[in-house]
Amino acid sequence: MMTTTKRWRKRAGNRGVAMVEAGILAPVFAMMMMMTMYLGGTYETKYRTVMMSRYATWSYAANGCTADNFKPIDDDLPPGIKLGGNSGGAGPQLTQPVDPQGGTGGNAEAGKFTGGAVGAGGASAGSSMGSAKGTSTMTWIYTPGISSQFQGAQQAITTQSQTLCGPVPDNGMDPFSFIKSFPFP
Amino acid sequence: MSEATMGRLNLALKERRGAIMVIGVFFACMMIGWMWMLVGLGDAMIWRDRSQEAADAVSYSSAAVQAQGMNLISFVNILMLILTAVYMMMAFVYDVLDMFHVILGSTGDGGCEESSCKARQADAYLISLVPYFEWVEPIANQWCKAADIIGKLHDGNTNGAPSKVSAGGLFGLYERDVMIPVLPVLSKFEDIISYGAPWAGEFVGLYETTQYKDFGESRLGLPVSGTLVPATLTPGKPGTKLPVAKYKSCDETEWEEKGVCKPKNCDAQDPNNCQTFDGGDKREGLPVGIPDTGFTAVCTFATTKVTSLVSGMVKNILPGPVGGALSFVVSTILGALGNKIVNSYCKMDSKGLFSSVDSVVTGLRVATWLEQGGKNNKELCPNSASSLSGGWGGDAKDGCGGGPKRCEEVYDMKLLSGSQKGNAFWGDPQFAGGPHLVVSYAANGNDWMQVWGVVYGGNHKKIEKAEKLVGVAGMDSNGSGTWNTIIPQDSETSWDLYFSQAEFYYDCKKEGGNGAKWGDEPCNKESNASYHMNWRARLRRMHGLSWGKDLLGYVWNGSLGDTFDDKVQEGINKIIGNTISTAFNNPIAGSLAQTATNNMFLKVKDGAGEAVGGIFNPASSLPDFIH
Repeated sequence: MMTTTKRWRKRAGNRGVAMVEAGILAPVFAMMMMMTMYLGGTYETKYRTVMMSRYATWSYAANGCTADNFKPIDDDLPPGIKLGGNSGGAGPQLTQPVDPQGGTGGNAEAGKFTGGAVGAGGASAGSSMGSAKGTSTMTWIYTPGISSQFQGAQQAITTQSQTLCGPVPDNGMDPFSFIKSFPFP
Repeated sequence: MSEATMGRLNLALKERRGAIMVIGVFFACMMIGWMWMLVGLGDAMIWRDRSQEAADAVSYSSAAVQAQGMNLISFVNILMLILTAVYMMMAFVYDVLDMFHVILGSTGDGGCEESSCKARQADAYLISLVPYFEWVEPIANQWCKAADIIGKLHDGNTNGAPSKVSAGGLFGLYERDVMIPVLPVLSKFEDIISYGAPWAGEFVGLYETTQYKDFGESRLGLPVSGTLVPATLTPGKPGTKLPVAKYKSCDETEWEEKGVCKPKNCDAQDPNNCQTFDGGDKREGLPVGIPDTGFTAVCTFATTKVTSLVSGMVKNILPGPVGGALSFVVSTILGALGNKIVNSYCKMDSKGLFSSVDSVVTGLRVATWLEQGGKNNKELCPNSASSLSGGWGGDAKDGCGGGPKRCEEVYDMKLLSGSQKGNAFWGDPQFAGGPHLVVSYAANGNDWMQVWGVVYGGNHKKIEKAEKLVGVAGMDSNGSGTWNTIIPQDSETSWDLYFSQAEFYYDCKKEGGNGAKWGDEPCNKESNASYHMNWRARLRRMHGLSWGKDLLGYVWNGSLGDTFDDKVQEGINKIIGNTISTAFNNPIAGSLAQTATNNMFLKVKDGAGEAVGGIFNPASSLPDFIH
């Protein structure tokens, strides 16, 4: 009959145990790494939507919430912004619909938005009740990079901003121009 | 310890199995912690960023409302300007007709022996007999025909109140039914805007903050501006209660040297460059007030604008020194004429441009004074007191020998209804009202056009947790005790404010004033900004507020009647003076001690005032809780 000491000695002689333990832990760590990346990507996407909705809202508001004056600066355009004309007319809903392709097609900055993930989204602005309302939606699709066929979880992240339309009168002493733009430019 | 136990212990110390697992679990826990921190960091970043954006929205929205309020006031001022310009034109036409009516003599009003025109015609015939004045005879031949035409245009030859289809009738109607009732109402409307716009901006700002929701949590925000507190609650009457220093915002030297428009908040940055404004404060919420001259100010602007336009046209047509010189001449002549027109039609006791015609005509008729006329003249001026309750126009009749007289009182309008009945229309800002013009101490960029936005972004459960997680990452160990060292309990989220600043301003560039000063024509020369709808809003960097310093100075420097200083110095005199006098048995020593102590007190007081005032200095760093 083996004594307790002998049993301990036999076990101590087992080789490859560390490898086995590492093998058990590796997927856990990998999963945690992926979760960290996923979280990081989620916040990056959220932050981009924050910036884009702000950009759309404030540039639209500063130009009097009119299509004619909506001249966004495009030399420092954040990735994901879709340039386009306003469909016109004020209403309760946003007048310039979100472009599902915004931020991808033709936007060189879109390349920055990869790194294991594929993002698509855009920003738009419209007005209702005298307020400029901007919204930005981006879809965050997590692709870990194991395989191009493999896509992990995805989620659409939306941010909305709002501020009052700034007055931009056309002609200083033309009362008709003013009436046209008042009360809600 | 038994041998077996010792053996197990030795084995355990040499044991390698499970070692990786221990390390792995440790790092797994670390990673969980990092992820936890990442979540906190992300949430806090987004919350803070959005809170700042909400603060921007608060101040900008309020500034936009106030800018739109200023535009609306300018719009109403333009309506006043249009109505007044029409009045001035009608007044001028009527005045010219009235002059000829007097010179030619009325017809259809009977006469002692002949009608007035016949009498004047006889005068003209007599003059034509004088050598070299033969040319007057053909004129004399047509005299009564011309008088008839002028009479019809002037009053319809009714020999009573002017016909409604005559110049006099229309002019009277315009005065009575347009100028008198409409302009004061427009002024009241402007009162409502100037008092209401800042508060409307307040509610809009509050609403816009509520639209910024993140993580299911909303924020609370408030715009603050000096325009919320009016200087007077009686439009047109200067208020003197507010202890706010009133400055003319300007630094002419800098603008002239650098040649660029750099609006300066001179009261905050360099009070030495400012001029105090005396005479009370007529500001009604928005930085506008009714000028002392009331509606006369509209006439003044109209004539100034016409002068400026015409002289500008001359300068454009004839460039160079010739054009400049001619433009100056035209400007001078038109300026003088404009002043004359304002005095003749737009003031209390205005009597028209040709007020001396009556006496001149009477004087010229000396030669034929026997020729009578106008005995049955019953002409009434427009809005005559005889035909209209509370009217002001007088009558145009005169006895035999005089013929018709000018309607001199027709321009001096009076209010006809309500509790203000009988009060003058012109130059009466308190009863009749007037245009609302930007007050003299407000200018682009100074505190009167600023709006500060404050958003309270703290004390939300989730966000507070996120901030604490960031605190862990930042080794923020405020507080005491083990737990507080690890997770700070006095996180700054308990008092988390986000500030922003926006302003409403007059866009001088719209009128070609790139680089213009506030007092230049494209900006606010002759109250230009109050008649143009070029008011806009914009965000700007946070800067300090001068009012705090002003208020401190008001109290500290004895503007409350030196009560504080008097009491302290009285005490010093009693205690120090008497003590020293008694101690040294010398009143001179006591007096010297009093003076020295009083001076010391004033020095200490000034020093303390400067120190406290420095807190309000725009250059001072902001407290940590302000973002």
